[in-house]
Amino acid sequence: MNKPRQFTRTLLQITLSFVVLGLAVMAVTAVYWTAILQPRLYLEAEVNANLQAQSQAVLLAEVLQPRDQPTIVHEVSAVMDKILLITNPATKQPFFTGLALELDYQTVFATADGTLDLKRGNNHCQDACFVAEVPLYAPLSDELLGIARFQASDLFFQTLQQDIRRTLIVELLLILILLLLVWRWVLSLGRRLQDEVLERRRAEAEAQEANQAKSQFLANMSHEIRTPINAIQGLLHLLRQENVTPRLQQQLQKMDDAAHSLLVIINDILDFSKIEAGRLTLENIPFDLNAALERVRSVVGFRAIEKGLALTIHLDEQTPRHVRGDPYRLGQILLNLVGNAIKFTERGEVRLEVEQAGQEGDRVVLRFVVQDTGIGISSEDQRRLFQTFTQADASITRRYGGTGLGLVISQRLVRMMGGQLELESQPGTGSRFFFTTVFELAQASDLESQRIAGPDACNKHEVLRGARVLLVEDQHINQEVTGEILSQAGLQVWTADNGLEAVQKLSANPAAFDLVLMDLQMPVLDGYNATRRLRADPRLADLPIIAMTANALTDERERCLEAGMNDYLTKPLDVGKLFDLLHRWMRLPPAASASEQPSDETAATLAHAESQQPVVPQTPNTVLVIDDQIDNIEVLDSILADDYRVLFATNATDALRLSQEQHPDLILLDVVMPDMDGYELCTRLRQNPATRDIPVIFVTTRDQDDDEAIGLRRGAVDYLTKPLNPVIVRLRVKSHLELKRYRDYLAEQSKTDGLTGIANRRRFDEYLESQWQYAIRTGTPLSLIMIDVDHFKAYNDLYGHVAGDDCLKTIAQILADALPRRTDLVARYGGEEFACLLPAADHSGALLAAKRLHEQVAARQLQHAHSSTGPFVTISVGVASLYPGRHENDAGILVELADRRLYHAKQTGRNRVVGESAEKFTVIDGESSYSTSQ
Amino acid sequence: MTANSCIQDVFKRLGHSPDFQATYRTLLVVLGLLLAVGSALGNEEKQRAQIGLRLFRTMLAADQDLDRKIAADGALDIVLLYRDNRQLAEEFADALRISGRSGQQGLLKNYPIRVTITNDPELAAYNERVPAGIYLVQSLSNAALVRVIRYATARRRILFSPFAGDVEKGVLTGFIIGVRVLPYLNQYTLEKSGIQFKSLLLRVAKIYE
Repeated sequence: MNKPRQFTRTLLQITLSFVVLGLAVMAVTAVYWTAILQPRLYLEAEVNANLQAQSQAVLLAEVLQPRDQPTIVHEVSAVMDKILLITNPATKQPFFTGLALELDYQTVFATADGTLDLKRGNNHCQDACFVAEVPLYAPLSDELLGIARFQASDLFFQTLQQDIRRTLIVELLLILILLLLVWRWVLSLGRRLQDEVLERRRAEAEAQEANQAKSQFLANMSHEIRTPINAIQGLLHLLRQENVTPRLQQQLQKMDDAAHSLLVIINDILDFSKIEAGRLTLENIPFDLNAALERVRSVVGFRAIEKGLALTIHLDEQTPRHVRGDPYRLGQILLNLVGNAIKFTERGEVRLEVEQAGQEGDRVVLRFVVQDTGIGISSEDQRRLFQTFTQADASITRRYGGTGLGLVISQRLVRMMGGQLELESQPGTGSRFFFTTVFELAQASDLESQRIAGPDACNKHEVLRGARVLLVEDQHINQEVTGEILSQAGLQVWTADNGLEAVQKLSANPAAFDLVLMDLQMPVLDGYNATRRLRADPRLADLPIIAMTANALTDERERCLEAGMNDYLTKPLDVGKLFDLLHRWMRLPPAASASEQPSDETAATLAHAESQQPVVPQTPNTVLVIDDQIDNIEVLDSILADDYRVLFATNATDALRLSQEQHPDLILLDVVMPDMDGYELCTRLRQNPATRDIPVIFVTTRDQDDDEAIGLRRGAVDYLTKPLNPVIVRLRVKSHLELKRYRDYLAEQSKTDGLTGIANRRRFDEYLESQWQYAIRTGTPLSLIMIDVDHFKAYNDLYGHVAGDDCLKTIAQILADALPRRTDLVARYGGEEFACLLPAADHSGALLAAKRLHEQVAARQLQHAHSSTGPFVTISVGVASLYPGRHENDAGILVELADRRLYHAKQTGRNRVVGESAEKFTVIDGESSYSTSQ
Repeated sequence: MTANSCIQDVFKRLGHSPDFQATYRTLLVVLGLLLAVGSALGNEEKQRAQIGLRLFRTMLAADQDLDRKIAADGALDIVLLYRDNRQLAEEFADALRISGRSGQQGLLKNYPIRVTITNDPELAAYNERVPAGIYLVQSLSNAALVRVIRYATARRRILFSPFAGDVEKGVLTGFIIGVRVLPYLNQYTLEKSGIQFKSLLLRVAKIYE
């Protein structure tokens, strides 16, 4: 309402401006007339009268010229009459109305003085004439004869004045009319502008409303479609847990694929809507490029194999593996391009190549190329290819399906990543899509922190067994499906039909549940408000609440977190993600954890030992399926995909490569292979130190005992026969993975110090050797800190061995806490000696770390009454750093060096840090030490 | 055909009398002389000199005591005062000598005009034979102007300067150009000199007070 008022004020101001302008024009015209034009006209008329009078005076002077004879009166009168007859052609009136003579009779020869002082016409005009007194000079003698008084008519002046004034008034009126018209036009223009502005605002508001309505429609549509898909996929998941025939298993898989395809379409539409609305934002997290490419292979590889196509994914060796960006969206682009390539290629090859195209500082430009040998695209169709809802050829839609959104979304995503998706293609020879994107470089250590810590899927279920979950969901089918999935995993599930019911149940018994799964759109009370009410109750402030929604369009995640929820899941539920989140947030009852672990102490030890391990990827177990038959791979994938990360290989070469690169936790190996049989492959795996510990289960249609025996002799741990029973497969896989886990655990235990829980000497030696080799390969430094607890024997003697053990545990903990890098290793080297290995740390960094360790032990102020260094427990520290050369094969040189420093520290009074001034050296003779503290 | 014969032919066609022709012939000569004088001066000075010469005659004729200022031999003495251009002064003298028309040529109020020239502002040579009027051919310095004004005023003689600004400096007469060319008189000098002009002249003249 303020805008129209403001606009009206503007119109009034415009009107006022025009009024002022009109008045100004009138005032200027009046002033111009009265002050300038009229006086000038008068002056001109007066001058004109004078000039006329002068010209006529010549005639009088001629007749009055002194002569021998007296001037005759009637001659003078005749001249005067003649002058009075002269007429102005403009007015048709005489110029002069009167004429009088006043003569000097001493000069003029007259019969008597005064006889020639004649008067003619009207000589008594007041203001209606101009009077001009003109001297009359004798033409011959130049004498002054007298004065002629002319009275000139002002009629011409009056007429001219009137004409000009009238013209001025007319012009003024015209200007005013013009101003009036302009004013009217401006007002009309203003009103039209106002109308247009209002109309545009109204249109914008309507467009915004329409956009919101569209968004809401899409959100509702997404919700309404995802809800039944959730039920379908959930039921399929449950059905596939049953002991069904392979044929039915395949049909179920196809149904699941169909549901998944529908979900992909919905996601495409939602992505497109988000991009169009400018609401799609990219993540910037560290990720492994190689893993992202392998995900592409795992998703679309089946289809390539089905069509008999070779799918080659090549990551250039010089390309950085660890980058920061949005791995999900990059995967979406690559999946679209590779998926299309497979779709439109009947024979030949599909290649995905990645190489580094440039680097600037910590940013790297990567070039992705997807090339196929498919049908190709004509240049005309290429122009239409990136248009929304367009495929190159309408017949393609009928033949190959698809919404036409995929490439558009990919192109927009590439643009958002700072690149441009381009295409080169010839019909019949294939297509080549390529783009570059910019990523920040990341470190491997960044990636470690991103990995989800936790046990594998199988163990998750075990850990979660018995946990109490409140499932708040208004759709009974989803209640049923989700409840069943959770129940099958051993969780106890209660349901509530809406938010209010959940609030009532939880308020009545706040400790009854370990976690809440909360739907968002519900009758009576929605998920947001229910969560807010729950969070308002201090007893429920820490209760984990995970949102479940079928609305994936709006910024639900932020809204959920704002409402007080801990995390967010979209429907259809991804069972793996569901259990990841349950494990992450579940308030586990003590019994649930305890039952899984051998003992509290061992569990703590293991946990601590794991925390000290330099690289412990906590990803779900990976199962590598090696089979030349795609149907078999599909079946095994459908059985295992929900619980494990499944890789596959269709030949021995790929299998060996994947085994070495991905280091799967278990291998399912077909006996009959085209290029190399399973037995030979198994032997190769066992011969390679990197793969020899991976359990191998043979899968074959053969059922002869000999085959089983051969397989087991070659190093397999088990044997499965086709047709496969899903339950049996899952149980066998689970059992062997658990066995492997316990075996690994025991192996781990053998490398853990039983007292302090940190690594023992065995692990230290192994780690030192591996890091020594790594340092040689990479040319990086390796540092070692050797620590000895000062006067520990006296401590034991004074306080007893139990206190001594506690002292060592405390110091181990201090050391572990003070070295937060996951690559650093703190080990108990023996007795009261500790060793800290710091990969990629130079001497100055190692000295700083040593000083920190020294200070933090002192700061703990562990009482020690029999110490020469003071009232508290102290440590002596020796620091050594090396850049190992390739000719140095013995890592012991580093230990020896650090040990010498430690010895020197102890010899020079203990409670100090001793290091080397030179950072890089390979010769240890002639060393010089110095004390850096105390 | 000469110029004169051409003029005669024109006037014959116009039907004028031989006297009239003689008058106009004289006029043409005067005009030629004045043009020659004018070309020697600046453009504006030429015009002013042409106009001034006739007005000077009018002033002299309007002097009511003119009869008493006639030389003993009956001639009307006029002095042309120049600054440095004698030739110019002589040309003006010639023009003045033949001024007037017809029977009045070379006469003023029937007195024969006698013109002499000098560049002495003191007019030392004219203490005995005082001229009836003095005409400035060239503008003078202020000092010279003061001296000549003093001379003329003391002897009740008409001093005429055709140059703008001289009347304001004390010269008795000159002229002023407006719609018409009007005689211009210095009231103070007029009263101080005691010169008596005809009342009609005083009416038509512009007075500097």
